[in-house]
Amino acid sequence: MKNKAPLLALSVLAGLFAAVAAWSFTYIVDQRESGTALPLKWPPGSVAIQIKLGSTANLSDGNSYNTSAQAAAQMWNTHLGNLQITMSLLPAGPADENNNLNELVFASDVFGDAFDTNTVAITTVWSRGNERTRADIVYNSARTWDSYDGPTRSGVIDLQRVTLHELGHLLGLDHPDEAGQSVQAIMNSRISSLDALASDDITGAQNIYGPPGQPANDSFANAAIIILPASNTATLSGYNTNATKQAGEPSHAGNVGGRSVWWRWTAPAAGPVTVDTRGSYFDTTLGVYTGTAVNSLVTLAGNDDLSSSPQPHIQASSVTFTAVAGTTYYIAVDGFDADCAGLTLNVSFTPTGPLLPVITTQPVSATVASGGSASFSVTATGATGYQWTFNGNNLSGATGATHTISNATAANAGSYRVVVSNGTGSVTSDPATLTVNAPAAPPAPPPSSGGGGGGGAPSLWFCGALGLLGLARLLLRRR
Amino acid sequence: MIARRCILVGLALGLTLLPRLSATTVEAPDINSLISQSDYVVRAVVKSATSEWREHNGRRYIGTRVELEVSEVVKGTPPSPLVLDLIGGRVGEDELAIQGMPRFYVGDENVLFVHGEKRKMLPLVALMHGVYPIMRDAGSGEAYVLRSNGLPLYSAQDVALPMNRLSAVKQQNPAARPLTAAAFLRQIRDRVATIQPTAREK
Repeated sequence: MKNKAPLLALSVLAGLFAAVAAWSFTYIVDQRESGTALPLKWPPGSVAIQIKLGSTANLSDGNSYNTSAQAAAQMWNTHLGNLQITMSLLPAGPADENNNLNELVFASDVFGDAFDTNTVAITTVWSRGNERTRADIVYNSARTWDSYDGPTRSGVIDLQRVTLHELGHLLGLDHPDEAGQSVQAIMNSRISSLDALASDDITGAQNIYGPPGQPANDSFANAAIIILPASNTATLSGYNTNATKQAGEPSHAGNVGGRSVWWRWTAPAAGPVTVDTRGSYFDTTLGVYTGTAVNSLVTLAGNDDLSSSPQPHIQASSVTFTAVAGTTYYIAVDGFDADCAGLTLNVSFTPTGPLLPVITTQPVSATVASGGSASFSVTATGATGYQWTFNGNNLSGATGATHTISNATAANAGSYRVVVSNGTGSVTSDPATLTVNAPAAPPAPPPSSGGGGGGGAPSLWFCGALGLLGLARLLLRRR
Repeated sequence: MIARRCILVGLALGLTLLPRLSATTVEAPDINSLISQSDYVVRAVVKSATSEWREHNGRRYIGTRVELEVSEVVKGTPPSPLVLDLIGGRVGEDELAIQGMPRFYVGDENVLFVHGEKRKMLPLVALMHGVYPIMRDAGSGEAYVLRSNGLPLYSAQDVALPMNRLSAVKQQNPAARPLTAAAFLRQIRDRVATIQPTAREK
C-alpha cells in the first residue's frame, strides 16, 4: 500500500528516462517496508541448479533439453564476476519443492495451480531479507518445445532463449520493456528473434555480480585517477566485486568491509568537494584520505549511509570535505560487511580560488635498448611551464611537454617526473621509469681445438693423417 | 498526407513483422482474446491483501488472498466478495515471488480480466496483461487506465502491444489523451456483445 504510488511514479519516470538512458535494465528489488530498494541478489559464490528436463538429444540444434538449458546457463556464466551457476544434468522429473534445491522442470502446474494458457514458463524465487535463497524455473509442459537459433517458429518455443530469460530473472533482472524502456534485450517480456544475451542484459547482470576478474583499482597503489571536466562534476562507474582489502588498510566509515576499490584526485584549487555513491547497486561505505601508503593514511571523511532512519533508508554514502589546492586525495569505496556489486561514484567540486594546472595524461614508463631513444610526454590543462626531473634532479633544458632521451645508456635509466606549472603554482606528475637494456653480448668464438660435436673445417693434423694414409695405400698397391 | 501514409504503411509493416510468439513468460493476448478468456471483467478496488503460509501435497509455500470490492461488472457474474488467490507474497522476512505476477495493495483500483472457478496459478488472464491500474489525475479528477508498466493506455487494442512500443494512437496524434477508465470499459463492453465464447470457455 505504501509502496505502490511511488512504484507507479517510478515506472512513469523510468519511461521518461528511457528516452535518454544508454542502459535500461531493471531489477527485482527489495521492497520490504524496511527494505533497501537494492536488487535482491544471491550471495557471492555459486548457485547450484538441477536441470531435470530430459537428456535425449533430439532437438533441432542437436541439443537435448538438458544441454540446451545448460548452454544458456554457460552463456550467463561467461559474463559474471562473483557468481557462477553450477549445473547438474538429471533425468526428466518433477520439481521437489521440499529439497531446497534450485530446479528446472517441465510441469503443468505450480503448487497445484494450473498454468494459464498464455503462460510459457515462470520463475519462482524465494528470498529472505535482501538475499535470494532459492529459485525454480517451471516450463509449461502443455507447450511444444524445441531448441533452435534465429527467428521464432510458430507454435514451437525455443527452450534455450526462454531459459536465458528465466535465468536472468533467477539472477535478479526484470523486464526492461515493462519499465517503459526501449532496448534490445533477452530480458524484454516478449520472445523475439534475439537468441543470445544482448549488451543491456550483460551490463545489467554485471551491475549485480560484476564482470569476471578483479577490478583494476583494487589496490591503493593502482587507484584510478579522477580528472574532472570543466564542469567540475563527474559520474564514474566501476565494480567492487572480487576486490580485496589490503593489509593495514583502514576500515572505511568504521565498517570492516573487505572489498574496497580506490580513486585518487589532485585538487586544482581550494574548495568544497562532495563525493557520493548514489546509483550504486549495493550498501556502500566511503572514505577519503591523504597520504602515500595504505597503512598510514590520514582520514579526512567517512560515511556509511546517507540516511539511516527507517524511512527512507538510503544505503548510498556521501562525504563533503574542503580541498587544498595541489593536495592528492584518496577515495575508497567498500561494501558494508563486504557487500559488493556495480558502483557509481559522483564527484562535485566548487573551486574557490585560482586553478593549478591539471595533468590529464601522465607520462608512461618505457624500455629501450642501449643506444636507442625514448620519449616521455605529459598532457595538462592550464599549464604554462614544464620542468622534467630525473631521479629528483632538474634536467637542464627539459622544459617541454615531451622529453626525449637519445642514444640511451645505463646512466639514463631511472625515474622521470615532470613539474607542470602556471601562475598559480605547480603540480608534479606520477613517476615514469626508463629501463635501458644492455647491448647483446657478441657471439662466443669457436673452440680452437678438441673434440665435441661435428661441423667446422677439418684440422691440419687430420688432413695430414689422411694424406699419409693415402700415400701408404698407394705404396701397398704398387707392391 | 504523404507523411501520414508513410506512418500507416510503417505501422502495418511493423504489425506484420511482430513475432507470433509474444512472451517468454506470457504471451500477450489481444483485447478480444483477453475478453473471451475471462469469466469476469470488472472494475474493482482492493479491500485487503493477506499473505500466508500454505501447503500443497506437503509442500509449503506463500500465497496471498486479495479481496476486491467490485464497482462495475462488464462481463460475467462474479461472486461477492470477489477474491483472487495468488501464489506468492511475503510473510515476515520470507518472500516467494513469481516474476511478472502483479502485486496488489489495499486501495488500488484496477480493471481486471479474471478467470472464474478454474484454478489457475494466477486468477488473472495472462498475468500482467490481465490487470490495468486506474489512476486519477490530481487536477481534473479524471480516472485514466495504465498498463502494468505504469504507462498510459491509449486504446483497448494496445493491450497486445509490446510494452516498449508506442501506441498507434499516440504516434498519429502526439496530443492524444490517455484512455479514461470509462472509455476503456465502454470499449470492452462493446466487444463483449460481439465476441463468441471460445471452445475452452464452453
